[in-house]
Amino acid sequence: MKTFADINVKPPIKEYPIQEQMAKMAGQMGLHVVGLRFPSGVASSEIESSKKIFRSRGLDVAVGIDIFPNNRKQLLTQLGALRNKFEIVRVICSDTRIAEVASRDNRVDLISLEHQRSFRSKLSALGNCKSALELEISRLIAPSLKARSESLKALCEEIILAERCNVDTVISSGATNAITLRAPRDMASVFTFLGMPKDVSLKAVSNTPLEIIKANRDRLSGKSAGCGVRLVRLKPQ
Amino acid sequence: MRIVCDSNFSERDLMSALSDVGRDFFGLAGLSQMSYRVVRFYLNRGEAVLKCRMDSAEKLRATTTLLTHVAGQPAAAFVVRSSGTIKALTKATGHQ
Repeated sequence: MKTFADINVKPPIKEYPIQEQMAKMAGQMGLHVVGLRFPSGVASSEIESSKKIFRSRGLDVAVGIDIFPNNRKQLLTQLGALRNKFEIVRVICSDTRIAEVASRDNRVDLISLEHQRSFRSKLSALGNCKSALELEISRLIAPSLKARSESLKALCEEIILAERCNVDTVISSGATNAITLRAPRDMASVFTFLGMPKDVSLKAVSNTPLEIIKANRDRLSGKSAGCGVRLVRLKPQ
Repeated sequence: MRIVCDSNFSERDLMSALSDVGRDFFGLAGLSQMSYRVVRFYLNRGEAVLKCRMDSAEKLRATTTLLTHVAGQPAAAFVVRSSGTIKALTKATGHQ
């Protein structure tokens, strides 16, 4: 049986009944791993209480953070400060320059090109990308038809580019309440119709996010010193 | 499929919501190819059994995912199980 993950669930801060509903629904939808995503500056007590709510429903919880840097220096400073505190780090790229830097930095797990308008800027960002590209289903369930059609076009472009540049993709819900949560297989089927091969779309809701979480948990626990380097302690003779 | 909605809705409301989303996403031709219908509807459980052409099952799943409103109220829907026969489906879900 496949293990599914949604690594972009944004629980509303201090809204515990809504968080309870989200956790209950995530379990019903067949999710095993949930990545709770917080904006920077949220109190650690709030993060812990949200984790507790989701864990009480039998879900494996990973905690992530979204970074919105305005320039390269800010990006590097925030990565240095936050990388060792969270299991998932996503950079939302406001311009091409930041996207290029973020995509080549090993400390970044996910990048979002939602704010990149042109095909060329997306291509330059994904050209030598080491992190995975995150595609959120919440972009498609926008209230207006115009916004939805624009998102549809942008997502199709991102799928084509990710395939061309051999970049891993992660499909997530970007849910902020129970109504915006979506089942993993269902999300994968939407992206299959947008041009993603079926096996890739299923991998994007299972293996790829799970590998990111595993690698970061190893790194945070001190078992790993980086990509492909595992720390082994030997007993003194 | 299971539908999560704060207010009550009828089978007709569900069909109408699904056809709106299907038309927006796949166009009229795509919608007609799916040829789906509601076979069973359980308002108390918020569940429905839908039947469609076998080659359109994924299309119906995608339509379900993009459903945001039923009867004018915010809603979400997800596929609990898909199966070739209703007998196998009821056996797998444990519902009659």
